[in-house]
Amino acid sequence: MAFIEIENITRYFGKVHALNGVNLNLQRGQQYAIQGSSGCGKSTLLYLLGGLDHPTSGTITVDNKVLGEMSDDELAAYRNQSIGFVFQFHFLLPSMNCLDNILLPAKISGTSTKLVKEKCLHFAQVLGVTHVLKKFPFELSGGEQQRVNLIRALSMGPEILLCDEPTGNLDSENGQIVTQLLKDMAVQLGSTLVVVTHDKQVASQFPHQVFMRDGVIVN
Amino acid sequence: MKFISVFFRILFLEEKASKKFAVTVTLGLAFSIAVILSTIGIMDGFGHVMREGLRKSTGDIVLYWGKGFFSYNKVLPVLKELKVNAISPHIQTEGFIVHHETSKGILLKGVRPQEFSKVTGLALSLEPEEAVLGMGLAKTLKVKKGDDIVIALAGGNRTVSGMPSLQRFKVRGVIDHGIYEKNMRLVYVNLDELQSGIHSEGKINVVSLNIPEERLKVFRKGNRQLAIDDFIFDMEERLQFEYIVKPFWRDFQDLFEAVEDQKKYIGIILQLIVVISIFNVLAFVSFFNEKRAREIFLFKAMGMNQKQLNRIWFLFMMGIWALSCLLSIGLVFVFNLGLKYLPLFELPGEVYGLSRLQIHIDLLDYGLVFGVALAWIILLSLIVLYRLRVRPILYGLRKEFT
Repeated sequence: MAFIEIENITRYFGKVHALNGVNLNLQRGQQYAIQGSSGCGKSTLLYLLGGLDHPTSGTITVDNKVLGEMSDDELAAYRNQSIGFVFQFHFLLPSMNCLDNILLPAKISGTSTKLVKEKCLHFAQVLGVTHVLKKFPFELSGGEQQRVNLIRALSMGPEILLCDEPTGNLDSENGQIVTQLLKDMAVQLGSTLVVVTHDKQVASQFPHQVFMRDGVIVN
Repeated sequence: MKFISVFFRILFLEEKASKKFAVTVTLGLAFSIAVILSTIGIMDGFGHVMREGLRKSTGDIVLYWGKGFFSYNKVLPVLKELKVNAISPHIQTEGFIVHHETSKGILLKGVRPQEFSKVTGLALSLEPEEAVLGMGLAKTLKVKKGDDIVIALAGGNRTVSGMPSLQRFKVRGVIDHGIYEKNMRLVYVNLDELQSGIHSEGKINVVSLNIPEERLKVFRKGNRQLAIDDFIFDMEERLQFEYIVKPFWRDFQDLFEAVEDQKKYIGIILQLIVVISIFNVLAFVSFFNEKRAREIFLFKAMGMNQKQLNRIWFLFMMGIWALSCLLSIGLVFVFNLGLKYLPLFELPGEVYGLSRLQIHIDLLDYGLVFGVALAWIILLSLIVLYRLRVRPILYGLRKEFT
């Protein structure tokens, strides 16, 4: 049985059919790239996996739990404990410094920030951004912001790391670096990594590649 | 708890515009609540001061005989049997006060000072041939302690159509009843001197008395009005309905009822003011939701659940409400000081009976006014939380961060 089972998922936004019956199985600890052109439904699929949205029909099962059967509170806990999101736009809050931004998920869950902080400092060292932790997001370069974003996503030790165009705002050199870091960190944590990208070069670095077109998987 | 404080800091305190708006909304709500409290408080205060003033001049109950003067000994045994708390027999008659060629109609009370003081609580003491004047009367006649005054009395029961008798008194002092009318009309002298002045030795025409304290305990919160009504019923029965027995407020009962009705209707109408300030709160909530939607959706994406959001919103709204209530109490206090001391708020006493108003608010009034404001706040919070709940996180994130 697969770690994540996606069965016949559809997602309609009014007349727009973002997903038209997607079936996909993802194995624990593996790394996947979902690629396709803009508007093909890849981000929608990612958000459904992350419990940020509900499918119009079909089921998503993660570790034998059906997301559609979870209560709002259970879904919130799932997002907090099991999922790490890396968004294309870093979504760092401008009024807080980077460390406070990183510790937000821990504060939301009520877990000890001391332990999480130690872990995050280690990640910051690995990712080479220790020097920016006391800085505010606007003082950072795009690559640094994305790394801070990555540390925040990893802070709770997620089972699944979901990344939506993580290199979309970076030049190719920084894009390469961030992609490699994502892969390394996922291996280090044993997380399942799912990256959505329209960049073939980025996708080619992943052992499993899923192609989407018009809301369906084509390979 | 940690998250709540972080959330509060980010959402409510870090931006100047939100902070200023929150302060303005709180002040607006506080002001509205204060207006209602003050209005209700003035009406309650009017009734309260008036009742206190009336009680100060008559005690709880006044007893007359329909045919005029009577012997105190006729009623005393019955009153003793009823274990009244304090009794004061006295004579109450019309007369004229003359001072420096100025004369004025007065209500003259012949009293036994100690007994009268015990009944009314007024600090009244009189030596022979001394008089005490109401504060307003003394002011009008420019009479001060130690001055001589002359009181012109009717000849008494037997010679009522005859020439008035004149009696000279030394002013012992002035007294404040708290009621304009009483202060302007009342003069106190010794009972026996007045009895001889009007040739009614051994007779009185009024008895003032206080009900026994244990009668108060029978009624909820020691409601004096109910206890007095109940006691009057007993008195009338024991006196075989030969005497007229009145509670101290009887002469002003219609006025009290009118004030009570006014208070009710004005209280309801003034809720409009709270509604207007609630619109301000609503504007703030909308502003806030737009301004901070990004943070709220991001927190939800990172695992904040609805309960946490509910708790934070309710805490914030309760904070605004609680602060507004506290501020309104402060505003009412300041307004009350103004009523007490500023010449602007002085009343024409001849019209209103009182020359100064004061605010008197009981716990029930506070509870009602604060409770209605709280109900509005809770209703608003529920609407806001419902709207936040039904907006999908994905929609919010995309809208706010794109």
